[in-house]
Amino acid sequence: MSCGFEEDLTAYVDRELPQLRLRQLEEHLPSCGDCAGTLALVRRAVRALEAMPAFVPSPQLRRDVLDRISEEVPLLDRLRALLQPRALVPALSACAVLAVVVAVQLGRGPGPRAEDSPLLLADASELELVQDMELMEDMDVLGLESPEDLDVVEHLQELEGQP
Amino acid sequence: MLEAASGDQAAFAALFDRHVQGVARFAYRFVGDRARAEELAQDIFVKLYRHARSYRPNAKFKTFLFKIAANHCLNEVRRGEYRVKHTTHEAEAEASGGEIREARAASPDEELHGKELERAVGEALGQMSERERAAFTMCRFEGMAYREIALALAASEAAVKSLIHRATLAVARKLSELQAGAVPARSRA
Repeated sequence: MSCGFEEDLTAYVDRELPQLRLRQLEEHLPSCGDCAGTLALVRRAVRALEAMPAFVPSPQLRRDVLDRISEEVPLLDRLRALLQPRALVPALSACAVLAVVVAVQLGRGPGPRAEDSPLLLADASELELVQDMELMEDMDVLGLESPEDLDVVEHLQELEGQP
Repeated sequence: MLEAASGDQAAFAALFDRHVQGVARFAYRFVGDRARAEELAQDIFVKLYRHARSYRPNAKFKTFLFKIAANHCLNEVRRGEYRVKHTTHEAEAEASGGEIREARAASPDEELHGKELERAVGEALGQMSERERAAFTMCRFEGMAYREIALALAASEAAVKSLIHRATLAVARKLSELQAGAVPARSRA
């Protein structure tokens, strides 16, 4: 059908067409066999559908719905329940503990970063080793063979002042 | 509705009694299966209770209710929770212990015609798109205006007009085949 009115036929039966379109369709119908045929088909179907058997839901549906509704707690009531002392006190206590932990962590500030520290040592023995290494390097520079010689170097001026 | 929205369960029960038939019928025509339709209707009323506070009195209550109903049915079918079944009237009546009642007292001939009609409409509904089925059901079985259906389906009135026309024509052709006896009764089961 190419008359451009076909889609209007069901709306016409349902009285859903705007006035202008309604008049245009009613002027068109007597001259269009296709539209008249489709209109009759649609009218018969709509009449038949009105005689369809009724669907009666079971009484159990009412009981099931009302049971589920009675279990539902409205949002406002849920909020009120949260504001009860027995729920509020533990929640506030937990918040307070959390706040203290966070404050302590923030108070400490960031620790030294590995790249900023000249030397990170695991224990005191490592520190002693490092100090000994410095001493050995000094002895190498001066061409000394024992720590006693280094002692002599340190007190060289005093020794030179002696007669 | 406003009383139900404030948590008044008696008011909600009255609302349920007033609209249960329409919602259950819509769900039944949508999925074609009695037990599933009742499950859907149950969910729809629970959703209505949960969303009661979002209802604004300037909107027609039936439109608000069928918006929830259509969304729920479309979502459940799309999620694959429900496959559209559209069983025969006899099978449905047997399964439900005869709870699908004839709209009026009928002679044996008229009853047969009613069963044939039910089967043909069920087949046509099963072959429609989900939106066509939703629009058609709201229009033909709930008597809703195109404008209300458009609001419920979040569609334009022009789109609804087109959906209803296609769906009505599909049913009309199926009924025409039935009247012409084009399809043997056994093969239609």
